[in-house]
Amino acid sequence: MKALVFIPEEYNGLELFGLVRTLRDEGISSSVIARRKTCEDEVTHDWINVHYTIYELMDKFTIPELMKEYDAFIVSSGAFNYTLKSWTDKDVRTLVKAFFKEGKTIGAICVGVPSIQDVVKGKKIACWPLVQEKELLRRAGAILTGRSVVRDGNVCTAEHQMATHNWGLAIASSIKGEEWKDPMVEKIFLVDEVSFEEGVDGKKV
Amino acid sequence: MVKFEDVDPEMLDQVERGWQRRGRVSWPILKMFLETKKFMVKLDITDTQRKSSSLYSSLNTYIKNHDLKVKVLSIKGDLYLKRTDIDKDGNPIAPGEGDEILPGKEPVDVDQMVNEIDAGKRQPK
Repeated sequence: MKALVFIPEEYNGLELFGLVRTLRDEGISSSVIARRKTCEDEVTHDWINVHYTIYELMDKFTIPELMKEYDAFIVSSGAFNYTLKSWTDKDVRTLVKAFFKEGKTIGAICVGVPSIQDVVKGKKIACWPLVQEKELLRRAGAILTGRSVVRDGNVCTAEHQMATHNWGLAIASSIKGEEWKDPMVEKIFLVDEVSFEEGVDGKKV
Repeated sequence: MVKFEDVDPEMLDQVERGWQRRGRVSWPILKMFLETKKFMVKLDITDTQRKSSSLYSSLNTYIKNHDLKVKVLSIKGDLYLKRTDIDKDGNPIAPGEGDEILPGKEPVDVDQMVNEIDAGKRQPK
């Protein structure tokens, strides 16, 4: 089982390495792609395979080939200015749509969530509470929740970097086709949705 | 020079919410803790890239500034979060009840203290 992880230029190391480590612990390997080669050199590690930029990847492989190779496409986040580019990046959105169409797992975190705007219609999601981001996702038809991690079908989203571990577990369960119970919220919010504005127990935190 | 323009009424709510800055460290940790509904948790801060003392300080400041019913404890370098509005069994505690009163830190009766000072029984600090 393999996951394809996209990172912006100034990526959030906590999210990237936390995710990759969690996936590795769950028996899932990861390939990381970015726009710039230098960025990829930084994250090269024994347990992270880095071979291509996203452009090289799209040039060298066809979508069906990628589908055979990978089980999930995940968008990690980072510095806002750079992550913002992925919201409108043609290749990122093409991959998101292609993976979703094939029933593969889609993941996004923090300000990277709008990158998967094409597949969130009617889906419950978590995202970083940014006015711009919330508006974009609402217009895309997403149901915003105030939770830290949400898995709705094969779409796994997380609100912030501190939820990376749980987010990784949600993605791993989706890839394996297992049921996922949010370890954080199973005791409180079983099915009921927490509105974004209300926050936790009606209190803004 | 600046000009002051009226804000579109439809934007008022958005703007008001938009300026409320949420931190990247303390807010997520405390929000996730409150989501658990647990009385107390121990924090594994390996991945936070923060020292225990630094995180303790950040969390403590956030809790005080936002008047949260949470207490952060540092014991032997480990951080613990504890809710002060529920007991171990999850039952709500009324405000003021269950507060720890340390020896020598008992609440002061101001009137009694003033009377004692007036009567010469006690010297003002």
